[in-house]
Amino acid sequence: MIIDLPSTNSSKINKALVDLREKGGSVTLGRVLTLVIVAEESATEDPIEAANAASFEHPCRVIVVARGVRRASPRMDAQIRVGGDAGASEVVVLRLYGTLVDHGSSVVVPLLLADAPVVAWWPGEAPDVPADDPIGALAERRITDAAAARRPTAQLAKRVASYRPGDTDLSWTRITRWRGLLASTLDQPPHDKVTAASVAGAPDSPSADLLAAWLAVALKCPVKRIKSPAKSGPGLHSVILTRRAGDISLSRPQTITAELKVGSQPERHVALPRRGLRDCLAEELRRLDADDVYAEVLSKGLALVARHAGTEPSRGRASGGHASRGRASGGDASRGRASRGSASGNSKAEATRTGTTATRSRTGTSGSSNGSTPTRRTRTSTESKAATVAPAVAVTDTAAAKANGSAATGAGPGGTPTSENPTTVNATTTTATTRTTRRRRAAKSSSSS
Amino acid sequence: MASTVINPLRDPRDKRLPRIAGPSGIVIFGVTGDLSRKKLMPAIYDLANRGLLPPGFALVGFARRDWANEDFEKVVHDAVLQYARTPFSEEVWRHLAEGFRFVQGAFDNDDAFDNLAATLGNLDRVRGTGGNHAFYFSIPPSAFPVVLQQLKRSGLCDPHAEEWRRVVIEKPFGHDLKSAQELNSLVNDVFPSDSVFRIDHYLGKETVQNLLALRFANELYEPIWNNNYVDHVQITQAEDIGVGGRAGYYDGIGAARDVIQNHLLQLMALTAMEEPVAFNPKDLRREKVKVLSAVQLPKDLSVGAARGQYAGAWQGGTKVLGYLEEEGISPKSTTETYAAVKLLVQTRRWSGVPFYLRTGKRLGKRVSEIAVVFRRAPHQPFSQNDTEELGSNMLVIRVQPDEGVTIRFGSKVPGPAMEVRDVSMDFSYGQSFTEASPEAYERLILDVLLGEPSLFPQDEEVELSWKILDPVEKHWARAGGQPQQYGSGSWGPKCADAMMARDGRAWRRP
Repeated sequence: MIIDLPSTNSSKINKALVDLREKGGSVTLGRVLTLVIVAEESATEDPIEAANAASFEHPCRVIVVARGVRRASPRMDAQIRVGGDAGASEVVVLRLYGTLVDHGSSVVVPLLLADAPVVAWWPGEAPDVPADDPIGALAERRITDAAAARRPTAQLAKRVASYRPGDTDLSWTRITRWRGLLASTLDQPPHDKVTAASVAGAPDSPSADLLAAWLAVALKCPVKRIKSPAKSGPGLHSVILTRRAGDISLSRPQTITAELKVGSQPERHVALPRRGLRDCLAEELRRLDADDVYAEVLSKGLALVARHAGTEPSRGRASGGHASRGRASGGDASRGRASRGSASGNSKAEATRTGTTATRSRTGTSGSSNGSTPTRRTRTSTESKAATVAPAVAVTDTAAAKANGSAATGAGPGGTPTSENPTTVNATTTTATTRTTRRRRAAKSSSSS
Repeated sequence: MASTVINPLRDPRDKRLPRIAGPSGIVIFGVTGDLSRKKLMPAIYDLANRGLLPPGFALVGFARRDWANEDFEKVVHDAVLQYARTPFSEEVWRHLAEGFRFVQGAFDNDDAFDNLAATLGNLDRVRGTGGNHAFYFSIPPSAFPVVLQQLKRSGLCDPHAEEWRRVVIEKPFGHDLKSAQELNSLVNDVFPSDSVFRIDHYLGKETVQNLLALRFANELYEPIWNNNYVDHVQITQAEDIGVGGRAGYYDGIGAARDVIQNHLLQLMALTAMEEPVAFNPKDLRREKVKVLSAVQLPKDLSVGAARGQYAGAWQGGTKVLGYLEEEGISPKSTTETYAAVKLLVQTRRWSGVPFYLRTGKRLGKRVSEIAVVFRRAPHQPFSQNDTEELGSNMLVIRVQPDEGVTIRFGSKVPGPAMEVRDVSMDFSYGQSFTEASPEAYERLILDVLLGEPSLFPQDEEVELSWKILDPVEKHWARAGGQPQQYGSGSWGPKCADAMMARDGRAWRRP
C-alpha cells in the first residue's frame, strides 16, 4: 500500500503511521531499527529496494531523505509504503525541496522509533565527515559506499580522515566472503607463517585497497596492492598469500566463479559473485556496534600498504609478474621454492624487478645508518647459499627485499642475484623493525634447511 | 587441533568473518531415506549458498539402490528445489554438484566399502577434501554395528595426521541404559568420543540457544528463576501427525523413548541448569550433567506418570485412524503414543518445583514449548471478584513453530470497573529477526564440519537420561495393560489431566 502525503510535515506523517498501525495490526512495535537513507531524489529506488529486501532479515522503519531541487520554495512531500510495497519494513519517503534540503535531520527526528538504534546510509555521495553530518550525528551506525562515489579512491581517503567509531563502508562489506575464504584456508594445517601477500584489483577499487590493508594489519607482512589494467574488469581480481609450504591463491577471473589454490592441493572452485546491495546491507544491519577491525584497517592498514608501495617499481610490470606468478605457483608449489623459481621466463622478470627495487631504494635514500655493516655480512652469507639453490627470486624474496629496503638487515634467503646491496634505511618505524626481526629469523631457518 | 594454532586472519573482534568449514566431505549412509532428502540435502545446499561450505566440498551417498552418480545428482537436485530455504543459484549448484558421488552397496558388502574408501581417496585427490570426512548415519540403529565394523575394516575410520573422521548419529541413542552403554562402547571402539556427534535437531534450534541468552545475558529473569517464584514448569512437544511411515520403528519404542529421553530432557536441562562458568562445550555439558544427575522421579509412578494411545477420530477436518488401526502396528500393541512424566530436581534452586514433561502424537497441533509458570501473587489488593479471570503469570519459550517468547500477565480491562484479565506480550523471532535463523540441520552439519561439539549431547548425558527414564519404562512394562485411549486431535488422555489435577494444576493449552 502506498499513501501519498503532499506538502506535509512530520507530525502529519506520524499520525498517518499510527492510523495505519491501528488498521493493520501492531507491526511497527516489532521493528528493531530505523534506517535513514540519504540520497539524491533521482537515485532513491535502488536503495529502497535493497532496504526492503534486507528488511526480511531486519524489520525496520526506513526513512528516505530524498534531496530534491534546492532552487525551489521549501516543501516536503511524503510517501508511506507498507505491506507488499515495503517488504517487512515500512518506508517513509521524504522528498525535500528548497532550503529544507539542508535540514533533513529536522524532519527525521520525530519519525525515529523509540529506543531503537538508528542507522544512516548514504548510498551515493557521502558527507565529508559522516559523524558530523546532522543526520549522521543521530545514528549509531553510518554506512557509506566509497565505490559508489564519483572518485572512489579519494572517497576512501576521506573515510580514513573522518573515521569515528560506528562508521562503516560497503566496500568493506563486499569483501567479507573473500576474507572468510582466506581465513578458512589459514585455519588448516600447515600453519605456516604468511611471508608476503598481494592483492590485485581494478585501480580504483576501494575493496581491493581495504583487503590489502586488512592483510597487512592481520598478517604483519608486506602486502602489495596491484592495480590491474582497467580493462580487466572492476572490483577485486585475486589475492595471493605466500608461505613456505606453498602459496594460497584466490582469484576470480571475470566470472562469478573463484578459483582457490592451496599449495599442491587440487584447484577448487567456488561461486563468489559480487555481493548485491541487499546482502551487504543485511550484513551491515546485523551488527550495530563499532567495527574495530575496519577502524584498524583504515587507520593502519592502508598506510602500511602505501608505505610498501612507496618502494615499488612501475605498476604495469608488477601486475604482469603477479599473473605469471599465480600460474607458476599452481602446480609445483610442492616442489618448493627452488623449482618454482625455475619456471622459465618468470625468473628473469623477477630478477630484473628486484634489481630495480634495490637500485631505487639505494638512490632514494643514501643517508645510511650504522646498521649497514653487519647487514652486509649477513647478506653475503645467505646470498652465497641461496645462489646455489636458485638463480631466480621467489615471491617472498622480492617482497622481503622491498620491505627491507627499509631496515636493511637480513634479506630473504634467496637474496638478489645482482650483487646490489640495498643497505639503506628509509623508514624506521616499529613495524619495520618487527618485520625485519621476523624476516631475519625466516632467513636463518631457511638457509639452514 | 586447529584451536591451538592462532590464525592471524581471525581477530576475535572481527564479527563479520564467517566460520567456513575447512576442506571436507560428508558421507550419508541411508541417503535414500526421508530425512536425507527433506533435511540433510537441502541443509547442505543452503550452507553452500550461504558460502559456509569449503570450496571443493564432497557429498557421497551410500545406499543399496542401483544409482549412477547422475541419478544421485538428480535426486539431490529435486530435494534441493523442493525443500531448500535459500533461493536456487545455478552457479552454487554447479560447484556443489561436482562433488557428488554415489556408492552402491549393502552394509555387509566388503567390496562396497572398499569402493567407498577408493571414492573418498579419489575425492581427496580431485576435490581436495584433505582426508576430512564425516559419516552421517541416517540408518536404523540395528545397522550401526555392521557399518561401524565395515568402517573399521576398510580403515575409513583412521585419519592420518591432521586429518579428521567424524561420525554423526541420530536418535534413538539406544532404548534403555544398557543398550545405550553398549552403543556408546560400540561407537567409541571405532571412533574416539570427541569424534562422535549425536544429532538432536532440537538443540540446533535458535530458540533453544536463545534460552541460554535469555537466562544468562539478562538481569530480568535470573532473579525469579527459582522456587521462590516459579510454581512449576511444563515442557511440551506435541505432534499433530500419527506414526505414518515410521510404524516399524515406532512400535515397541513409544513416545517416552522417542522424545522424552532426548529432546525433553535436554530442554529441561537447559531450563533448569545453573549458569555455566563459560559458554563453551565443556562447561555447558558440566552444568547439564549436574542437573540431570539431580533429577528424581516421584515415588509412586502410577500417579507421577501417564501414558496414552491415540484413537481414531476426526482431526482438523479429516478422519484419521487410531494407533492400533495403523498399518504395520499390531492391534494389541501396548506402545504409548503419549507420555507425560513429573520430575523433581533436587537442588536448592528447584526443590519443590515439579517439571512436567509431555509428548504425544496426534495432539491438537504441532508445537514445542517450555512454559515456566509462576506462583500467584501472595496477596491481592483487589477483590476476588476483580481477579477472577487472572491466571498465573507465565513465561513461555516457543521452540517451534513461530519461535519466540511470550509473557502472560494480568492487565486491567478498560472500563470503569477494576477488572484484571490475562494478556500476552509476545516476542517473535519472525518479527525481530526475520528469515535469518538458519535451519537446525544447517547449524548442526556446519558444527560437525567445524568440529564444534557444544550443541551435541555426549555419552554421559545420554546415559543419565536413560537412568531417569528406565524406571518409568519398567513401571509401565510391569503394570502391563493397554495405555489409555485419547481422541486424535485432543490434548492427551484423561489420566494425564488427572495427574496434574492431583497436584492442583492443569496443563496449559499451547
